[in-house]
Amino acid sequence: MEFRASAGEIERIDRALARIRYKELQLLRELAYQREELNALHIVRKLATSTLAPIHRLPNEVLGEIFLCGTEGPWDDDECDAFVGLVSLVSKRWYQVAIGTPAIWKRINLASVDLTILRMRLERSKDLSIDIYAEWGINASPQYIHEAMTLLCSCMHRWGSLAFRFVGITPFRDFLDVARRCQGAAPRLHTLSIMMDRYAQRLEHPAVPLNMTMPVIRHLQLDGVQIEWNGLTSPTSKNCTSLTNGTSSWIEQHTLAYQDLKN
Amino acid sequence: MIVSLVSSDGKLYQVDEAVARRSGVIYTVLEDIGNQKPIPLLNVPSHVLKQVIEYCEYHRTDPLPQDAEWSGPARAELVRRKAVVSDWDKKFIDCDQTLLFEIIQAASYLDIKPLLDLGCKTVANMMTGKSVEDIRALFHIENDFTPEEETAMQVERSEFESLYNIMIKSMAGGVNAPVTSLPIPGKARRRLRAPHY
Repeated sequence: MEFRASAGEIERIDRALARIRYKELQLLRELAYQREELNALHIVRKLATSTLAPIHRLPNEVLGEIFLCGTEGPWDDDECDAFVGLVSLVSKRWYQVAIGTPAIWKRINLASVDLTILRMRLERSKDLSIDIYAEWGINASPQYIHEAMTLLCSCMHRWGSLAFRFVGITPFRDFLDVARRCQGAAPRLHTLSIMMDRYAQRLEHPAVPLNMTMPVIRHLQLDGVQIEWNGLTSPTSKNCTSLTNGTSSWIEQHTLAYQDLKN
Repeated sequence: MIVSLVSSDGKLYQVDEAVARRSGVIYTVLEDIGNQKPIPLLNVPSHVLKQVIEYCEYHRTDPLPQDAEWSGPARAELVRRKAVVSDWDKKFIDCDQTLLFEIIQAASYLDIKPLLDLGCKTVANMMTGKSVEDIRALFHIENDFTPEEETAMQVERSEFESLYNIMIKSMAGGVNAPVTSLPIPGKARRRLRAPHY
């Protein structure tokens, strides 16, 4: 049998729909009100939390100083490498303070950053001298070594300290490919360390060409590598206060410069 | 010679000039104006000033740091030299967070660099080896990044993650855990590291 609604029934349905729409509107209004309350409470909570947090009262420059303390340490201290990344993720303010403190970005561990992060660190450390450290083993990507070193050679004027440790001859050769082409002045370089692991020291390998002037070099640490002194001039030898020459050998024609350095 | 210092809550402290001169600010005041009237220290309450004076008393004979020492390449040298904190300093700075940050603020305001350095180093050490979440909890800091901002900070995150993963892998041969919930096992890693030649 065919269903046929009467006008009265349709009118009743319409009234029910209107009631439900009205109720829905009321609930939406209530929801909007509760959401506003929620947001307001979040803000109040943040303020209340900050009264508990004495660290919020520190001026930005002191907070930056704390960040700096966390990044200063021995070359091979992973915690110092990770510190800046760690504090940047804590809150918006800390992120801004980290960005505004160039000194905390100047420590660069090449073995644990990719090119994007390397560029970011170079940019964020502004014009400060940079401290570069790398411990490269046999699994180090030749392409990365090449690209990273090429990028770093382009800002040789900013080098403050360089420390390379090679485990195996392969990364050392990759490094040399770029080092040969890297020349110029390193006016802020005060510490240079190039070290080769004991096993690789026994293998035949080419000399490291130092085609750069280092007028303020103070600490020189070399182990298991041959050095070609091309830019080390007498002012350097006057400044250098520590020289560690493990089992390195020196290219004959540069013996004079080395003697200068020792005296 | 005695110098009179007045804290922000009006308490008068009398200290030897050599002690007062540990503060760069008081040093300048004494040089410029002389030691005639009590020096008001408007940002330093008495309970903090008392601590600061105690520190300066103990270190009264230490050589005054030169500005150049605290910046530039010489700073690295200084950091190495000062890497070992004396037992007295450790005990002195071992206080509750509120006082610690008040001392840091006072050291900054009064320009007492070694004390500022000690305080900052202490706070940095409190954070070292902790996760982002741990740090937020330790200092009562809200995570106020929006999801969009967190996405935009992917580079930072990836840097932290890459360093973190290196440490984790070297310890456990690869562990996939949420980065922000785990502490950094750097010290443990150093123990596993082959000795340097």
